Amino acid sequence: MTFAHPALAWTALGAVALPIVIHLLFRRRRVPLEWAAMDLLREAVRRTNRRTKFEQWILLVLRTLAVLAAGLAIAVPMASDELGLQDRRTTWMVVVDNGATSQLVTDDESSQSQQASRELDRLLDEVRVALRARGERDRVGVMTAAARPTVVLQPTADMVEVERVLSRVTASMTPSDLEGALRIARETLSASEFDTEGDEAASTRELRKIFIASGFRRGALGEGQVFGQTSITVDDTTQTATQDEGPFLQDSIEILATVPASDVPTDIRIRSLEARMLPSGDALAVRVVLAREGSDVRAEESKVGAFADGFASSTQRVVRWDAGQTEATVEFQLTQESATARTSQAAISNRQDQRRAVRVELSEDRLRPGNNAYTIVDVRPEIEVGVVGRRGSLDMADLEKIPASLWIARALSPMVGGGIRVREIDPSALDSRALLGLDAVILARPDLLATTSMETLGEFARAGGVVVVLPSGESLTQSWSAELFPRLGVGLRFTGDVKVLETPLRLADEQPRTPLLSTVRPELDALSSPVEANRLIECTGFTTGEVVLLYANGLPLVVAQSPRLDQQTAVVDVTATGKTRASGADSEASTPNASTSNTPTFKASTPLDQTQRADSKAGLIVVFTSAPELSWTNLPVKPLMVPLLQEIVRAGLQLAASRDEVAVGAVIQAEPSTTLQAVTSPTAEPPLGTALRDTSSQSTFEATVSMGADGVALDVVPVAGVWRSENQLVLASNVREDSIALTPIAVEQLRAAFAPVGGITWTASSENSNEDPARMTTKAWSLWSWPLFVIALLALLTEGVLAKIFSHMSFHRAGVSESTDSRGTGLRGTGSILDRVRATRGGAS
Amino acid sequence: MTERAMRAEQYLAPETLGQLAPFELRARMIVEGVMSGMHRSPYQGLAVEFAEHRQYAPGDGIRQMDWKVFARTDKLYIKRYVQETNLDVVVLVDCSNSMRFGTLSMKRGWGGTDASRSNDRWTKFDHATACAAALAYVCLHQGDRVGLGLFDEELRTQVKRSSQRDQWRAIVGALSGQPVQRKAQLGRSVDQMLSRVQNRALFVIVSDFLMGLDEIRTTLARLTHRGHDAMLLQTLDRQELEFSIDQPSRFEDLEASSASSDVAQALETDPRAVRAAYLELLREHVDGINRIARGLNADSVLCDTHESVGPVLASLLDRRMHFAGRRGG
Repeated sequence: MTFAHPALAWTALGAVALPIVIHLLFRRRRVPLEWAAMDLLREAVRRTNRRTKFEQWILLVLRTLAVLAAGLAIAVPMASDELGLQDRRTTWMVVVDNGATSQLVTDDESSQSQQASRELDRLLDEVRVALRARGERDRVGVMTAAARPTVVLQPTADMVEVERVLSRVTASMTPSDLEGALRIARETLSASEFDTEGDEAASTRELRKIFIASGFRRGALGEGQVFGQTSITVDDTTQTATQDEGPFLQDSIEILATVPASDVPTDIRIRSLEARMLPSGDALAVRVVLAREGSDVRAEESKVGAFADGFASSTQRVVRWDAGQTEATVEFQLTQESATARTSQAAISNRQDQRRAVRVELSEDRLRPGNNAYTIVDVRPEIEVGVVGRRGSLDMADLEKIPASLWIARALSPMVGGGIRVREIDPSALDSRALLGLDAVILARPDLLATTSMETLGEFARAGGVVVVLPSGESLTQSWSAELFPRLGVGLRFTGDVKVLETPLRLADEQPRTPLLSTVRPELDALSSPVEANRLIECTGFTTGEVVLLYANGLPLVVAQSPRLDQQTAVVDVTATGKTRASGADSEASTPNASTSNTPTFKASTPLDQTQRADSKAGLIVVFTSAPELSWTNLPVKPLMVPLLQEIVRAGLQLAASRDEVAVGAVIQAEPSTTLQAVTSPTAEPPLGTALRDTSSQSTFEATVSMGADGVALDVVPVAGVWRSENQLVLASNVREDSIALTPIAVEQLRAAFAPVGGITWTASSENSNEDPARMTTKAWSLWSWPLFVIALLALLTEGVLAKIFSHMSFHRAGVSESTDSRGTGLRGTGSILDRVRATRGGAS
Repeated sequence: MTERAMRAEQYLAPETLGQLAPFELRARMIVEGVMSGMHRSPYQGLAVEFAEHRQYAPGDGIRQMDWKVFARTDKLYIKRYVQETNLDVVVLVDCSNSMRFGTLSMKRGWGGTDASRSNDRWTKFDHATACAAALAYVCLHQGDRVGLGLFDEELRTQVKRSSQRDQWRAIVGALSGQPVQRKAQLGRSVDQMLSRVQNRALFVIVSDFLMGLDEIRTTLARLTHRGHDAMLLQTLDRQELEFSIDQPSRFEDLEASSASSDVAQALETDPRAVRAAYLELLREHVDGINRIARGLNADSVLCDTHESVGPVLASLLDRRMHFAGRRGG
């Protein structure tokens, strides 16, 4: 038996002393009275003493019983079987949220140790305290909730083993996946039921509990996430998706959890990192966006440094934050070292594939994840672009006859040594040899391409190349698009014929923000304003975010889309009603805003649902809806033409390279049976991320991710860093910002999230881990409370009745006159002594 | 009740008497009440009975002259009444500490006796002295010889029997000045008085008789065996008779003495819890006294100190008449 409010139970016990104290106090207040007939009185007391004491004891017992029962009822007693602590056997599944936010260092200024206390340590202490309340026959299993959730100990009654496992749990960099952890916990509990040998009565005494030790910060739970309702299975063959029922709806599993954190400590993290080679080819421009979170953001300073192999390290920049400031941008320019000058840092990339890894490091604060960011940058000194079109002559007399290929060639290489070399390719000669060495291809006459050439281009794009597709300026129909775009792996389509506009259509006054044109963004609006077109063709199969340039009427001029890695990958869009709509190559989306994507998406987004190919250098497909010829548009003769084409190529290649980035916690695909190895920042500590620290090894433990026979990683990406394989693949991984958000989730939201799975019970945290925690339940009553209240009420009623009886107030007072006037008005009473007085009047013989 | 009778009742009411001080004034009020009652004869005990005629002798008062007889016979005869029979009446009044008890409030400072002066209440002793004074007056008025004894552990004060005119004043004086203290020793005190009374007398003992029945029995037996008549006037306060205290109290013995071997042990109890038992015991005690008195051909009267002394006087005087008749006077 225990109590939901033990303090009240103790108070009730103390209150039992009240009737006794009151009794003693009133005893002291007895009025002294001189009495003559003491002998008679003593004899009367002697005769009634025994009975009087008995009566007083009964009243005292009833009073204390009433006080005790009422107090215990309020203290909410909970029977052992309600808690499953004694009579019942309980299987516990302890879910330790060791996600990225668990690395948060507690605000312990007195701690001088490098191993400062982290939120994970606090959570593990809570687990140990909570397990003290278990029954002797209970079993305990342990699992971690950081992606990917892992059962590290099957339920066991060996508490020594449980403690050993708990002591080895380390904080991860991966996001928390409480949804997945709960599913696995439930499956583990189901699989580990006690063998009751058909004893139904015994089976009803088995309890199952899940204890979640988590800070419940924003990083642990998706916005609007509700447990038990987000199981979606996608059948790739039938293109259908089915939604499973909540895993706990049919099971009676009690969910307990630590009280959510309430503090929002200040944390600075790297929000985004962009790097690109400057046109000069000898310097690297690095742009870092920092974000700051906290409930009390004050003025402070932080330091940022940028590093890239083969480039001179930058001096640390000091970022001064004003009070309330939540975002800051820092830019670096790293100059390329000489070929013989190498840094002492471990090689973070292979120069042979013209890619470099860039690392940005933030000064250490209370949360390490987010203090380092990585990206891959293409550092090739010169870009070679192939322009596929018919050779034409530059006749300045008739500019309208200049084909698009010439305009493009001019725009790409307006001067010698500009960093872009243009190679002309005849459409009929387009094959893999012709594309060898090219970084980008611009199709000026896609209508002249053979099918094999189209397939070759598709391979080129999937290999990481940039393909720019222009409408053929020669014809008003663009029927080739139905053949080309699918082979390029995009969902774009030209619809209808080329439209000839009576009134030229200008570009929109405000252009969308796109990574392709980020370099010229400040001038883009001004550069776009004079551009207009009188011919265009409508395009479908893109999203709003893929529009690069926009006409004033909302139609796109330029659209950029990355090719699908797998042509058979279904696009699944789960609506709020749970119905699914699969769209693939036959997508009916016709509006620019059609939501199609080349990666499966789920309503409850978790990094685990995103599988990304790591061995395919996905390129970029850029499509123009107006051919850059004067008969179509005045773009070729406007200042926008040169930066537009150059940025499409340069930034396009950079974007293609930057797609070799994954989020920490994601599952990647690569060549089967290969292993990726992380090359982390050269710090003294070993990389984190594995669920269990190998305490037996003294050497540095590098993170690795192995691919299965199907090419899918056997585990998630555990750390932020740069990954390489035997094939010299370079891949960068970074912590997602939403996975390290420290703002605590509101209790109401948590209750709503856990409502479908039967609710959740919080256990109060205890500052002194040696003390038993006070249990706070969402219950304010128990089955024991009502009977106790009834007992208290009956005791009070009985006491009142008996007190009246015992006080003899109902007895008629012998000889008491109902009139105070005794002067001959008559004394009433029968058999009283005073009657004798009356009888003696007149004398008795 | 007639106006005179009511006035007499007022005179003899404790509320009235209790307001009178000094004791002499109170005694005078008693006399007034008694005399008022005598005129109207509301109390049988005060009525005088015609006994016989005797021939007039010079010196006799003419007030008792029977003029009717003279008219018929031309002879002078005077009436002789019973009261002319000479009796010895000894009034013994208990002046022990227990007689200090009283619950009827009086005006502060108006107490006429030692007991009431200390607590401003009409005590049993006040009641006893009022009865004794009234009885003495009536008996003296009828020509009896009246004596007084005040006792606690022994006979403290004695006023020798006399029928002189100033005898009542002496009695009143003794009653008013007697200190009330110590415990009562009835047997010893009565023995002391018996040694001083040779001829047959009517002993009127005024006390609360809160003592053992054996002591009362032996004392009364000694009295009656010597040929005396006895009358017991048990004076108890109404609170002792009703025991209507309704709050837990600590009872302290009035007669406990720190100097004696008795230990003054207070008794804490809830009166409501013991009331029935107490009244039963009191009833048994009073019944016991009555049985003892009847068995020895004596009489006993129980009176409430909150009530008028009139009825008590009536019974006393009635007893006196009965005693006088038996003597054949």
